[in-house]
Amino acid sequence: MTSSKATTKSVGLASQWRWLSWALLAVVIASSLLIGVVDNEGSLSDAQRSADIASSIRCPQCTGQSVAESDVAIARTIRADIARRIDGGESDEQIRSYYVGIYGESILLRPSGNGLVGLVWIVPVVAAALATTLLGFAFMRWRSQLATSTDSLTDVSEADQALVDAARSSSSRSVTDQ
Amino acid sequence: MADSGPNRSVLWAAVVIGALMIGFIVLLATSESQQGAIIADRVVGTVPEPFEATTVGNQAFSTGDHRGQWVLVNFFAEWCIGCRVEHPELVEFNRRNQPEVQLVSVAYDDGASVEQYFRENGGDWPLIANDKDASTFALTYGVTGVPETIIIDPAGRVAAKLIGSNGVTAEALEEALGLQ
Amino acid sequence: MNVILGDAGIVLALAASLVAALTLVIGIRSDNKQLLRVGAKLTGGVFIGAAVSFIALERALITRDFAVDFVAINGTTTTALPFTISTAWSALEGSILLWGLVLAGYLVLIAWKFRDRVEDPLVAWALITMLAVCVFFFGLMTGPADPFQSTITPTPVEGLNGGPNPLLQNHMLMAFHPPVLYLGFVGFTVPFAFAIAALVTGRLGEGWLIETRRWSLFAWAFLSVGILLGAWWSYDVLGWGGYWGWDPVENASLLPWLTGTAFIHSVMVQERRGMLRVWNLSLVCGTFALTILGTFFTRSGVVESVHAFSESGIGPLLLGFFAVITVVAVGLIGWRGDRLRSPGRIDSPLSREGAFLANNLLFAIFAFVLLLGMVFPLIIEAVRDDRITVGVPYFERMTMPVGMLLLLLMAVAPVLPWRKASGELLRHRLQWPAWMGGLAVVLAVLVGARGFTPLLAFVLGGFAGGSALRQLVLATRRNGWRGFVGRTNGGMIVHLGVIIIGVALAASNSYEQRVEFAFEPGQTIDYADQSFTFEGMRQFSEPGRQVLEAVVMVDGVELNPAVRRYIVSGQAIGSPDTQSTLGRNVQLALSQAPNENSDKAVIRITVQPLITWLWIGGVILAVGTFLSAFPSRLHRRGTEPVSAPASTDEPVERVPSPV
Repeated sequence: MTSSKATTKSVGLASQWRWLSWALLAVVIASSLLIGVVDNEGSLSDAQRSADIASSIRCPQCTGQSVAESDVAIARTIRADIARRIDGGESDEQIRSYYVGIYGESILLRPSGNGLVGLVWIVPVVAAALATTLLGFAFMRWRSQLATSTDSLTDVSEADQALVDAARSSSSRSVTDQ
Repeated sequence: MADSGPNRSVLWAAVVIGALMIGFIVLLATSESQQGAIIADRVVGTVPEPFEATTVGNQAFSTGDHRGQWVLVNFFAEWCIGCRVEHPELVEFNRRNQPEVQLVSVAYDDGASVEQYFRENGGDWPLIANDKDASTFALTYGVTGVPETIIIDPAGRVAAKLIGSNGVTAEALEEALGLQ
Repeated sequence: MNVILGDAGIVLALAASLVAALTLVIGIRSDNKQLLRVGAKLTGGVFIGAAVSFIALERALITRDFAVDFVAINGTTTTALPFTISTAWSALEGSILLWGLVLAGYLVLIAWKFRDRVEDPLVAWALITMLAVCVFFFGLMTGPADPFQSTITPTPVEGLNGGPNPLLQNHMLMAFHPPVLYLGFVGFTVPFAFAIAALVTGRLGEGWLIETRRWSLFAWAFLSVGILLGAWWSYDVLGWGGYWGWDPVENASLLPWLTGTAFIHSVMVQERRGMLRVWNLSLVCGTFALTILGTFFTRSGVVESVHAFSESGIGPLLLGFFAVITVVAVGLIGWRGDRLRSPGRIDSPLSREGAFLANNLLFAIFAFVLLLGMVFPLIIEAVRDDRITVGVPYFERMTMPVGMLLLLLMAVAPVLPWRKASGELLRHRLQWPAWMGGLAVVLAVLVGARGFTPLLAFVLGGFAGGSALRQLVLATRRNGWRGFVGRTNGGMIVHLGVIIIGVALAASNSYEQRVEFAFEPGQTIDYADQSFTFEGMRQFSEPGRQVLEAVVMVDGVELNPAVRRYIVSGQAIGSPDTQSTLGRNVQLALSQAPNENSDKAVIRITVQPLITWLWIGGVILAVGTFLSAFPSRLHRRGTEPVSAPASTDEPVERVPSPV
């Protein structure tokens, strides 16, 4: 009895230690992440803003590259123009809508979040939520089926039952034969 | 165990998925080719503000000075094969239709080599080859590459954009502008 | 001569496919074993035809036989030999021929591997399915995709276009990337063929899965490596440090990889529990269909892409084939629905089965996002007649959370036992891996890394890596060197490769530094803790092109970003130069060379950490797949208790049985 109490006590201690170490780990990770995020604050420099906007504007002559990546003349022109506009004090939104005014909606690499086009952002999230829910329902159904119908899992068809009976009777005969 | 339950559900799923797939395939089959698709062009039909530019001859040029004429803004690059193919046509077009038309060429990339080309191959109209003005032209008219020719009607409205050199002949231009 | 040989080869392959398929069908219908054996042997004819044809094409290219249109359009006298050989698959017709050759290769391998069992209708139907696919591809080659047309008169004496697209002559990987990629794509025909065979014969137990497990695995490995080779190639030639652009053709190659990865995981649930039959059949048919869809996207011009071949008439045919495959697969699965009922139930979401289901869910969402992004512009245009672009920002934003969740899953799943796990068990087993995650992020923050997304990637990467290492340590402790082979252990090594790639992705994307600078001759600048000195320009010629390169000293190492101007086509291609170390890569690209107007050289500098680890992770992935294909000699011992540690042994190979 004393040994089991001792083991229960040591098991209790062990699991306490485990909880403690998980808690410590959580603190370590959380604080690292916090440092990593907070230390990163600071408004974007002009050069960075320029690069950001440039990488969201599609190069008109290329297939899918942004003006930040392409080296063709029009891409360089637009890059220089973006830098000039930032110097002139325009906001990101103003600069982007200027280019949309010339080239149309398809100059932006990032589809807008409004209207019909906004669906491209929403549909995957909805689909993911739907799929997860359905999977959850499936799990619940399986759980309940397992819980309530253990007998039905052992339900056998008549033909199978006959086979089992025949086998049983033949084996019992062989046992008594011995 | 319900025999028809799982059986039906697979069948229903198959029908639904089959229908979706058919819709998907129809969409792909009826989509236009996007290869070489040019960005939708918002400039046609607008009246851009005229602006001052300096030509290689150090003259001032502004589209606003040429109201009443058809102004053809032609973007040119020396390495661009299509540009070189259509250039003689433009020369001919210019010669035949003075003074109703005013041609102006803008260097897209490397102004020096464009200047050189025009010196050797003719083109007796203003050429804008300095970076700053060329960029302004490019962005005002929504240029996407070369060769491109923007046609501005006598009222100052952008009437059309010709992208690529296909079909750009003196006759075709005259017909399009009603200048026969 | 080449034309005759080539055309003969194609006709032979097509005829052999038709005859073999017919023989097999009649053999099955009339239960004639002799016919089945003959049919299997006839598959050899398909391979011979394909090989003859391919050799004829290469011979035409190497001997500069410009009577062949393909050589006249794509070849030239000035290309070096390796690129002459790879010219075969640099244009449409040749690429279809390569596909046909690889397909014929897989066909004869299957026919040979199963030669003793060809009388089994399942095997016969699998061969018939593969032969049907052969009929399609070789049929294409007799019509719209014929590489052996000879219509250009007079016969040119020099290549009409100066060789293949200069972008395809610039880098050695052109020789490897397409063939390896095709080995992956075409490889998935094998499990697909067996799935169709299982559906047709009604033998829907686990037999076909076991037969084709290694084939699926190898196809997956080739596809993974092929995609990584493509990324490496992009990185080397683009000049701004990019290696993945979410380009429609790149996405099209990723789609079957995603469903293929889901398949090789959920297949294990079917092996152990007999469940998810409909799902697995759909996955494998879907994977194959997606390879055809990818081929369609690349060759039809429906989506705009740097990688697309020039438009041709085979787009509609490929789409039609895709439609046929879909109808057949969906129809068969719907028809056989009753036989696919499985007796098993999943006990608990917190179990290995649950983890595999979660894996499938995540990969399905990933694939859905990709497909939607690719197709959405087409939908908008059909509805509104207005063009929009769905570009990099969309794909990055949407796939990032999925990627993070996958890393988390890779951390937790290997310690989960089958059937049911308790929180206690998880807390016990995940301790060391979790501490590795903590260590990873602490080290990163100490080194100066900032930003939530990459740091989260480091935590999860360390966590997942720790989990995989834990499995390997346990396995080697128990079985010695055998702890590295077998499905589970090899799988852990593959996971390590994927984790390394994932972490390298996060780091190289988040911490890249890029600047474009106009250097005066002799000028030095300091950027990203390195010094860059522009010393001057150098000019020389290579066969078929003029090279203009800049000499830049980067901390004492010379780099030569250059521009190569191809003489015949006039096209100028940038050739960036990269310094790769384990820690970081420095890539230089020549944006603008000095000219009459200015003596400044505009050079783009891109500095990214951990790029080399992308390729190292790929090697580890390949090695892991190779190791996992070997069975460990020990068999599973008796019954497994519910919460036993994950078995590192192979299950007893089951004899395929009817349902």
